[in-house]
Amino acid sequence: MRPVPAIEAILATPALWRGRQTAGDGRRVISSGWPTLDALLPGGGWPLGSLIEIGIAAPGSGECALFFPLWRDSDIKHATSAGAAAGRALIRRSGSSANRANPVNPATTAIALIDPPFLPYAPGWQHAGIELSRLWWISANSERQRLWAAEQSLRSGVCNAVLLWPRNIDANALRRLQLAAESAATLGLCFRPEGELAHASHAPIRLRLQPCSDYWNIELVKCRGRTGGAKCTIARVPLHNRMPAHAAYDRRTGI
Amino acid sequence: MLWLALHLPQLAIDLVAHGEPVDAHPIAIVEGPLQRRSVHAVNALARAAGVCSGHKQSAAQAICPHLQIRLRNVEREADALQQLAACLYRVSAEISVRPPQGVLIEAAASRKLFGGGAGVVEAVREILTELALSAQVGIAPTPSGAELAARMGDGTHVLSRQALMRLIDSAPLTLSALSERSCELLAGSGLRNLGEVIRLPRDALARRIGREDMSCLDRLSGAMADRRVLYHPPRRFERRMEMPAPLSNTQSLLFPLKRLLRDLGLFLIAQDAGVQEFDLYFTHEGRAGLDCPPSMLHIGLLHIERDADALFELMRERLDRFALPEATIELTLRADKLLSYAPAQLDLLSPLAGNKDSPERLLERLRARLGDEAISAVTVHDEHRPELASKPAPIQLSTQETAASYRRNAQAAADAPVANGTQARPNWLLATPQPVDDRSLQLLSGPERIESGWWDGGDCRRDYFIAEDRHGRRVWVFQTLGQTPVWYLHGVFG
Repeated sequence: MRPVPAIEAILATPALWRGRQTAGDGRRVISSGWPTLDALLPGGGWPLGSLIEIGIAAPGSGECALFFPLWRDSDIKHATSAGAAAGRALIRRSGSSANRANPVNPATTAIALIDPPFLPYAPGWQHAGIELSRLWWISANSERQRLWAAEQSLRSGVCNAVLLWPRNIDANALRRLQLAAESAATLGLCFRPEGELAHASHAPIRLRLQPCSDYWNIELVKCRGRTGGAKCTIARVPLHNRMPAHAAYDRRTGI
Repeated sequence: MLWLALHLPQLAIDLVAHGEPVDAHPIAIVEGPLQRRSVHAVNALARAAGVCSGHKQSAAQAICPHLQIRLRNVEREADALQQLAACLYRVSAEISVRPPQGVLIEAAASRKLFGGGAGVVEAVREILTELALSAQVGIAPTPSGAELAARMGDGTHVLSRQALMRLIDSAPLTLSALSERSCELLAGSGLRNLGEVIRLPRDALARRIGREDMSCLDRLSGAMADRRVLYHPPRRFERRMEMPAPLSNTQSLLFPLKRLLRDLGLFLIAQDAGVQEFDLYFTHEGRAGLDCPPSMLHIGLLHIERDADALFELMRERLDRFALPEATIELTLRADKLLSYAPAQLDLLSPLAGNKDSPERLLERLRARLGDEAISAVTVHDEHRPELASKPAPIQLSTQETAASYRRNAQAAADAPVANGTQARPNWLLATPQPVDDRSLQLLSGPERIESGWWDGGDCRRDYFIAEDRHGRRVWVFQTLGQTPVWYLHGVFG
């Protein structure tokens, strides 16, 4: 007679997703750097090794800026069990103690930009506090090459995040990317037009990002480990003080 | 110490066999000046016909009228011995080449690795089969003893000093390493065995056979230290491979290429070295008497590599994009520069330990498929004009220290981005500014006037603003200064 596997053994399988239970037990997550967003995400951060789909109205809606805090200070931590120490889990370790406990591993910090819609502008990334040598700007001339480069970068496990702006992607390709991301602890970020969120996808996290003056409205369309539909707002980092008297500058004369 | 000697009396014949079937005709290799050619080596058919080495060419041809004569190529034999030594480097680090027909290796140190002396011999025989060479293998505790054992016959293994002395006692004088003159002299005195010679009174013997042969005997008997010049493998790699038929598509070249790269990988492991660049030459078949110059594919890597499989994966991608002008008949792999190789170290405690990929390898793969220029980093350029302030640059893989120091700076910069006076810059820039309707924009901050470039023709006079567009995006727009101001979208904060 075959031995019956213990229920604990089955429950410990990472592939198993238990409905309403807050997932993330033992899974590694990485704090998004936004406390309100962390509170929404099971385990208190982005799950490592997963594909995150972000629906945006137009490229440049803040989809990268959302990840700046993460790239400035990316500490890998283990998710605490369901909610028990959620509060503590949200507190990012900071300062010198974090450096000692978890030294920066340069091998895992590359940020691969796969054929971005605009040119990466070095002063801007530097201003955001991202080390420029971490940016890999990968140009590819066809969708096939883009997907290939994304899959290679995800699978290799040497990148912190792989950013992809697919022009035309189907469910199979998304599935491949998700499997590639799972095989290594890399974040795969896939930025798609808002409307495409209506189609089904294998990505464990799908969210809609809408900039609205000083805030981002974020809606979790789908999230493994919790029910979808949760929303939150994040205050954007002010770039400059608002112009005190906007009308004082004459648009016509430039004076 | 245990020495393993290879004696290759058939070396010249074996080398002829590499180019043509050797068993079809009686063949003799001759040497010496044109008028007095004598036979150096013969194949089995010629030997059966009665031709022996040492015969005059004319005598040999008289004995065997169909005998095919080949001229001996000493250089080629020496090359073959060097190649053999290079391959034997896999088995032992102490190798001594003894032209014209011998190679000697120290086997005791390798016994554990190959599971005993028999394992070493087997490894050596495998190499011989691989190179299609025939040799007599002999083992003895001293180098000279091993050479004697090898000449006595294949498989003469002598493991102790006493057994070696017994072997020397019974060894015929003709197989010793003594000069021909001494051998004749001693044979003329009625001496047949080495043992009899060694037992002769030393002084008298030394007067007759000379110092050189005397020390040869002393080394054999163990009265004198037996020192050998050790072989050092060359610091470059070159291997060619002839195709059985002209190959015109790159896919069919993958198999021979894999063999070449495997040889390179083994060579590099033996050398404890790696390559960063190498060349692949394709020799083409000339068409209708026209010479077609060989094509070359130069491969430059970002990092030092020695793993044959990794090299093959890269070459596969490169070959895909390489167009051969003509069918290839010969492939040559050449690596002139060997560099010291430090294998990647994995972090024992890192949660990511165990992933076998390194940033270098990923970059190599991407470069191989997408092209060398497809992957770059960006750097800040000291320039006021925004479009010139950012430039692509080769990727620098950061080290532990630079990453740590950067982390501190980044923290400081991130804490006070506005306070330290730097102007906000978008992280995305449009390749060319796009005209935009200013009524759709809500200006948030500005203006920041940038006037620059009047000296080099790229004059730019603009007022930059941070604005919000109808999607809610924060954008970087500018208005040209002049009679009819126009608004352009130049960057996106996103």
